[in-house]
Amino acid sequence: MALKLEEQKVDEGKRVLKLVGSVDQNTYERLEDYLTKAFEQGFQIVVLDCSELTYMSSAGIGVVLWAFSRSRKLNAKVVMAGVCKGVLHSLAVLGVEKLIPMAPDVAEALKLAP
Amino acid sequence: MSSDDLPSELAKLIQPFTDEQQVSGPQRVLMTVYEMVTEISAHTFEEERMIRFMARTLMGHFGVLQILILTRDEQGRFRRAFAEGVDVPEEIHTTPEDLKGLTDMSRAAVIVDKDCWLFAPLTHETGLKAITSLSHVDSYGRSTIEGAILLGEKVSGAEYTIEDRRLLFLAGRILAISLHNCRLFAKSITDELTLVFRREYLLSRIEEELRMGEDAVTSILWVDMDNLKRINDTAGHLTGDEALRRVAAILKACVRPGDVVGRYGGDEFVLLLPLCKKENAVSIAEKIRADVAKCKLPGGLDMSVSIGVASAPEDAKSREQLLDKADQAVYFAKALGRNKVSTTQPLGALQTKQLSGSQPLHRLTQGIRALGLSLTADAVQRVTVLLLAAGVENIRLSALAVSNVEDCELRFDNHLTMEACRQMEETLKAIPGVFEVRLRPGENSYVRFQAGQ
Repeated sequence: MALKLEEQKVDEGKRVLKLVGSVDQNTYERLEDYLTKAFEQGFQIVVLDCSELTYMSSAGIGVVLWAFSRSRKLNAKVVMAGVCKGVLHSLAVLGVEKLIPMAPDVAEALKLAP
Repeated sequence: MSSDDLPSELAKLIQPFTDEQQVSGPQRVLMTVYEMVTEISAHTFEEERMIRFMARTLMGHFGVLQILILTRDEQGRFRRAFAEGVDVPEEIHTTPEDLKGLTDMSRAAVIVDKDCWLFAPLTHETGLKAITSLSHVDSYGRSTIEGAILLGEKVSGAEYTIEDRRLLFLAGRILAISLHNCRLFAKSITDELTLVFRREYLLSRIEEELRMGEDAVTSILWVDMDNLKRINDTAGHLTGDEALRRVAAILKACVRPGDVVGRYGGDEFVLLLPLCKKENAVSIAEKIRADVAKCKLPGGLDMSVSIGVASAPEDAKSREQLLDKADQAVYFAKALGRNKVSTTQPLGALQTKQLSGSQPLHRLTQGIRALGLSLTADAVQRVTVLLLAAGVENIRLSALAVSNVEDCELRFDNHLTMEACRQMEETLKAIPGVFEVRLRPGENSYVRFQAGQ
């Protein structure tokens, strides 16, 4: 399955990345590459808009956990927005839901990370 | 095999995986295994990529922020191959007990607690909790430890269950087999002496590049050592081997990332430079030539290389034609006096058009080799190139005397003017190895060579 990444600039240092499709073994590297560059460019806030994300494999969740660690070190923030029920359940079982800020949609996510 | 080919019950079991449905519980374990197997088999020969994939998958499957993957080098030392959330040195100190612990592990990963001291003090300092070996068992039942995976605590705070430990063990097995295959593959495509790629792999990469690249410019360098035989004869074969190793090291240091350096055979190397225009390829070749010329062998011996450059699609479209063009260019470089870079294109008086009948050159070269004319081969090549450039046709090579096969002559059909013949005679007589020249317009003409002249 494919993954489309759509970046939206909110303001300097703040980006919304919409994930369309699935983050799986074929696509997780692209998400990691995007986030690596985002941190290198010094973005302070990255909102992952998951409203059109249908599936997230273990490798995908691994990237999210790595991004959390990295953002904490850089004093930046990664927020997940609009995560579907299935993916949210996986994140909840793993305890990731409590670690990474979650919001019902992008607007709420941006409030969490002013 | 598509799921349609499987019995319906099995197809139902696999359905969520092929559809990428978010699953939980035991199905999630199966899904993770499914992804490990499919992904790792898709990137069997990319070690770093496989390790990264396995690390991210295990982090995401168990929900951990810390992971350390160790692999063993040729000396058996454990080295950090991947580390996340742990600050550890590149080389990891291990004890015989650690190795024994990894070897004894059967069917499940172990958990570090007050009774388990595997990889201590590292595990106690870092908080790494679950350990499995990267063990590979061959068909004779011999177990090899390729490394280890160490995972931190789960962020959920939950303990590792026996099912978790079994999955982690399985992940270790999958990665170990893949690493083992990866290394076998790397060995199979590497030339043992010079550590550049072997001919078979090099040729397949050129073929692939020309097929995939379509109209993109791909260049080839044919690098031929000028004096390996002399080095072998005067300083011995060990020095000859050292010369090959040094040239190979220079080649690797001069190319761009993504270029392919291979040993074509003997003292000949071929370099594949994808997306590289001819003028850039010539610059790389020039740097290689200069660096080799600066290099001194033990005992102060000098080295030099002659390099032929050819580019697709300009000079040729197929792999064979392209290699042939680069090979011809090397002969021009040699004819110009060695330690030179040459292309198949303008080279002083030499024009591609005149050399389009250069099959004879190729055949002659084979003839020179077949007759074993190592001492006069260079002179013969230089003369041949000049004759072809002047438009001479139907060149024939033969040995002159049975007593000394090194003595030989070139005969050819001569359509040159008297003036051109006179000029050519002067040029040819100056070439070391040539001892007699007779050029007469319209008559039988020849150039004779004598060994040791």
